[in-house]
Amino acid sequence: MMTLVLRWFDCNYRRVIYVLVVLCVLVPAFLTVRLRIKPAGATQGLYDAVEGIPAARRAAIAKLEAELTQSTNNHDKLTAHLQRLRMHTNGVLLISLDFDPSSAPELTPQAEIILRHAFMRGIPVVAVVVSTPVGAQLAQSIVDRAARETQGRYDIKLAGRDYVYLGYRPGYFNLILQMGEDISRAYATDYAGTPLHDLPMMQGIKNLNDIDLVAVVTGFVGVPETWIQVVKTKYNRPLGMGMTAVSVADYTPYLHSKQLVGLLPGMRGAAEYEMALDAPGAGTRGMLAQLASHVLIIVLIALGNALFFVQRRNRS
Amino acid sequence: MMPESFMDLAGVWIAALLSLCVFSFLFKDNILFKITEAIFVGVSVGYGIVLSWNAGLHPKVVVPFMEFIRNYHDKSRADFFWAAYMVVSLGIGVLYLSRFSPRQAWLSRFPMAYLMGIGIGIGMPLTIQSFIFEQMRATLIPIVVKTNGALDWAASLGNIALLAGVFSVLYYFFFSVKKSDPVSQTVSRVGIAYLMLGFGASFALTVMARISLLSARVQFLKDEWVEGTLRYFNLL
Repeated sequence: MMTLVLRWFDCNYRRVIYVLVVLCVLVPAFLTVRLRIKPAGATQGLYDAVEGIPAARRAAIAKLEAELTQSTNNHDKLTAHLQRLRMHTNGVLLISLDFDPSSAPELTPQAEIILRHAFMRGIPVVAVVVSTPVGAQLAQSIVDRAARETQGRYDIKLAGRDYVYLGYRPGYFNLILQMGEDISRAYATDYAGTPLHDLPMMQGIKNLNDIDLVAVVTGFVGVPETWIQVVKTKYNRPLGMGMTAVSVADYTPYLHSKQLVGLLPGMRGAAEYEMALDAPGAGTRGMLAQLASHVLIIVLIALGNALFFVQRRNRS
Repeated sequence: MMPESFMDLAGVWIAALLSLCVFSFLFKDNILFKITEAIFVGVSVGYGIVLSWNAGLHPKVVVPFMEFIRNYHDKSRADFFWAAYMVVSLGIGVLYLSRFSPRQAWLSRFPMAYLMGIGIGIGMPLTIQSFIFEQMRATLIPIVVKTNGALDWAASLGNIALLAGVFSVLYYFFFSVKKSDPVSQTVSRVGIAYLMLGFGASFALTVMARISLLSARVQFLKDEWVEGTLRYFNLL
């Protein structure tokens, strides 16, 4: 009997593991247990950067005012820049939602919580998609949902006044470079087709120098490098990222070299950010399933190794 | 979450049934999985083409050109230069299509060379600055870290481990010298250990990513498909 069971298991062990993994994911979906999650340094870095946008804008205004009183060079240019900065005293967040449905389960919670954080603090948001046309509509629904559902010290957010969704344009390297010079050259209109100069919010935003933080939520390899090259190296603007867990190991060195202010690793990063903001959401909900699945996988790895040693001893 | 209309409900049902068709591959390869795969590829490509046209070619080329042609008698010399530049650019772009003809495929090298030239010209200084100089700068760190005059053991050990990792991995990939002496072999083994730690971290993160995808899909099936349908028909 035992031999028959073992033979059946030998043929069907893959399916048994699938069923166990599905159970580990399905059962927690019915539970309402909240795990205690402590934000890691990388997550806290991005949270602090978003939290600090209004202070960064005040500091930028003060610095520019001091520069204007001391210098007579480029007076018109500096005055125009100062006027733009003063139009958004809470600062401006540029968020790029570079993912498609295949990585949306991991990255949607990240994008939502960053947007909610900005909206709760009254920070105007410019949202773009630079790398995939397939993600354009998905990104719009995320931005609109976050704006609609966020209740903070400020009113419900309105498109064009409190946030702008510019949608997708092809050729991301040139697009990001153009945004450094003039956003309206990269995006003549928003996603709905309204010219940028007709949008009240965009009167105070010309290029990346008018942006206090760039947050990139991406599921593509290669896209983060371009953002680092242009936003950090060329224009020296603060840059934070959220990405799929698969890619995190590749981009952690940029956190260490301070080229990134923060880095959210997959759904775990979203859960940590939600905890930091004290606003549990989709990320926190998914963590119980993660815990159960990881315990199962650790047990399976240990069992597999134990079986391997037992079989080797029996053979010898 | 309850679907707001019957069309929403139909959309949820289509998404749920397609998800189940994909999961059926776990049992064994079957026709339902293949149909779903084909639908996914077809929809993605079709959607991508339409959006690329709407977001790229139409607003950036077609609309300005039509406007230029309609009002060409009012245009300045600079506008004519712009039009000529656009025509040349479009012509170079069209050469890409020559790849469909085996005899004329060589023409596609011109747009490729054009793009590679631009890419290297713009990208090389930024790449060297971002990925070589900045990373080297991040490696120039003190071995002994002092905080408020006292030795910070944790930070010091962290920095030593980082430096040891960088040098041992670089040495492992240094194939020009035969590593036969014990010192070289030990350094290479340390490099291999660092690489293994890196691969282990990547594997664990990959597991986390895949579980996240499964978890979100299961959550969708539970919340939007089963509970959403029951709520829509007032059964829950």
